[in-house]
Amino acid sequence: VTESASSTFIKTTLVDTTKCIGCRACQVACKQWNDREGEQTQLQLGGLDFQNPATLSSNTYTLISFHELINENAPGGLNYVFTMRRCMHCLEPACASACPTTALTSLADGPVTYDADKCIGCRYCEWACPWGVPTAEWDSLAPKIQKCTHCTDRSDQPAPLAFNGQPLSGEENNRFLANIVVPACVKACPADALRFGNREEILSEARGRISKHPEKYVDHIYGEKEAGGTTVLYLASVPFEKIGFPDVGNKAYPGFSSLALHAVPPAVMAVGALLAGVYAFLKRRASVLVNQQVATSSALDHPEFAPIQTKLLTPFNWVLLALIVFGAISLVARFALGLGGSTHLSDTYAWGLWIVFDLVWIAVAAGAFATAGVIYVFQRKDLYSMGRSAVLMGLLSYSFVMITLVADLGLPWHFYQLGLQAPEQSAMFEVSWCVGLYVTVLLMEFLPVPLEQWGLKRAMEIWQRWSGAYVAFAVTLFVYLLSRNVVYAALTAVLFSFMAWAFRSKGKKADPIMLAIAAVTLSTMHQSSLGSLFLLMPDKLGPQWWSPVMPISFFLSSIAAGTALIIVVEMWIAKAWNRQLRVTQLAAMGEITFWSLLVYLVFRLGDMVVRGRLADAFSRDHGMLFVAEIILGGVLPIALLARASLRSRPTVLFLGALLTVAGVVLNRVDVVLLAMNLKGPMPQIAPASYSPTVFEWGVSVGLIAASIFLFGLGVRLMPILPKEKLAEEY
Amino acid sequence: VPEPVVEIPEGLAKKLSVKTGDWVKVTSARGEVQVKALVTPRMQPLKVDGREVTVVWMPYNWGFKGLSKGSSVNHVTIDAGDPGAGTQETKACLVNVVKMDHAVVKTSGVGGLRS
Repeated sequence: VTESASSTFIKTTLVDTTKCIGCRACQVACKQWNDREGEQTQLQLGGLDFQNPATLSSNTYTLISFHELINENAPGGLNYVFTMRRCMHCLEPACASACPTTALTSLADGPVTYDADKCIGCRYCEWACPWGVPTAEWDSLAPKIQKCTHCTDRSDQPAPLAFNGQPLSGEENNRFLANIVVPACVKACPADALRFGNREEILSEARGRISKHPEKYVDHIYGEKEAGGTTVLYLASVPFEKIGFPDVGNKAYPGFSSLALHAVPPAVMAVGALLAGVYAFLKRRASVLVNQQVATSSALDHPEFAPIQTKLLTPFNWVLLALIVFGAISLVARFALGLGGSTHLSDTYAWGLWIVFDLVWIAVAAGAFATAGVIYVFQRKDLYSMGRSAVLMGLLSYSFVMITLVADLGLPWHFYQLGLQAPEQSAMFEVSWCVGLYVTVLLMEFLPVPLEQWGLKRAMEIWQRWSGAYVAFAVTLFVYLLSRNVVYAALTAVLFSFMAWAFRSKGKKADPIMLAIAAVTLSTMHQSSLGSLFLLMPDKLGPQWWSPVMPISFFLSSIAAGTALIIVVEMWIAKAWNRQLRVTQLAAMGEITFWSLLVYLVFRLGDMVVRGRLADAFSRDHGMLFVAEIILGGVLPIALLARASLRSRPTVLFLGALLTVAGVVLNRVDVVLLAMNLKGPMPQIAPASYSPTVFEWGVSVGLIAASIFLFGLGVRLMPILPKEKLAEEY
Repeated sequence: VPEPVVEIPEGLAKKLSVKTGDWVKVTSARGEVQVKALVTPRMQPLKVDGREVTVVWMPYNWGFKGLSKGSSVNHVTIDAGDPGAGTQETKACLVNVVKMDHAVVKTSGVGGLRS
């Protein structure tokens, strides 16, 4: 094979199911070549007969599925179809586009291969693949992903230079290529049901067989166009849907999320510039106003903060501590027993409670960026009193999401690969970096509080001088990692450096405007990218939820949920610690919740109308969940929060905020679990069920308890909540 | 097939109210085995001398040792060999199939019943 020929050679296997005799020699050869352990199995029920095992797994890359079809003209009244099930090796694979560390890669000559050293074990590939091919080693303490590699380790071996001391003749060389360099399954097939070669040749061979024997074949080469084309192609005597081949559409799966992800780097610049513009405009207007009428409300704008003075070890906090211990035990159990041993996750439910928990928590923790944006960018100084508690809530929430992710990853100690690898378009990569950088921004936002408390003036000065520069650095790094484009990165660096310079602190009391801009920018990106994660699953997610504009819905709903949670928490704090209820500020926050919820709902339903998905949205599968989300978590809170007079009534405000949070929480639970139609590993006939184990609950509940406890500890130690005015002063 | 089974035609399965995965006892004049039933449309009655003869089928690849233990059909079949070639005499014999309420799974030992 010459250099130029190999560059256009696309390794392809043809599976002619009309020739397969169901002997499973390929299944055995695959196990032997790839050194996969045997599995102790049982008779497969449910009409699978001799098919064994039922599905692919980390020990089974190849499987013959058995199909018995009634055909009155056939001898015995039955047709038998045996089909080889294994990785399809897409030309544009969903799994590789999902992978945040390029552990799964599509080689130029076709095979989709896996490099365990790069894998962090996020298992996003398992859900991204429309055929359910990648599987995880659930029994292992270091669970790798396993799948067919199209025997790249066989086909890449060079032909021997000599045989029995004689140089290989051209004919011998060809024989070697035909017999040795082919995948193990192809070599083992005794019935000539498998052919290996260049995709173009294989396709013309397949077309030739169909045209020569139109009575024998259906006129369809499965894989020619499916999911953008695959390099494992099938011929069959019966329509493919009858032998369990799903209709995955002809669009290449990476295309579903590429637009959203390629929009991220320019969107960072656009959002940053927009926020800076809004800030500069509002600041100028405010200064004009101040000049006209001497500042009177500064005391209200900048209330004093103080640690609260209450006993720490209340009965409630003892309960929290017990839950934290439960969480710690669960976390230890997770690593001692492994993912498979401590959770009920499976190749069907590769993601479970912890991912729900991450998605829910990040959505409701959006209050931190929304509040920072509203206070500093939009100059709503009347809400300043909520700023510190919102940032602390955000910081704790995001930190614990990171801990959950460490527990959830199969190979968390490979996390550094996120810094070394450059995936082209992975929502998981985007989210990892964006959330990571945002945690540092949250930390920077929160720093002044401890610095002020413990009088670290020098550190405070450094913070004031350098936080703007840090923002420029972090955002530039993010844009570079996402785009790998020096021009984009340079533009971002220039833009954010200019902003940092223009908004540098001039007075004593400077706004952390750059941090606020970074918070909003980064949050916009990762809140939406959490929606992008699910763009690769149009075949699994219910049509009421899947939408090409899901990223925007995720972003909009997070603002509603985040601001609503701030209201709920602030009211809870007031009640629990017997503090004043700042009704005016809370109602103002409620107005923001109202508008963001309204925009979200109109956007989401409008999108469904445009795409013609609303008509049967209520009657389809999961219609009741959709109703609950839209009516109870949308229309009802919008009605409750619509009027200023209603918003000012604490009970109504609380109920409206609580319903908003519940609606968005339900949305995330629906997207991850309830409205996901999971079919399990190939051939997608035996989906597992899922209910979280006590350890899965333990980690999640323990971390929620820890964040509530640490929040309580924080407000006792540091000036986070506004100082209470004495009754006579009030 | 991961374990010994007896393939039973749909008609017989209906008569015995057995479904795939149920335990059945297969007995012959020589012995008995307990295996799972595999009900399938593949097994169809033979017409022998004008009479309909129901046929069941069993694979024979299990024994008392190894990864894949299970009842051996050899307990049921005819214990005779071709004197010239040493091949077993026949792969067909007369059996009875009875549905079992509970499986008495033998984990080891042949316990061959000869009569």
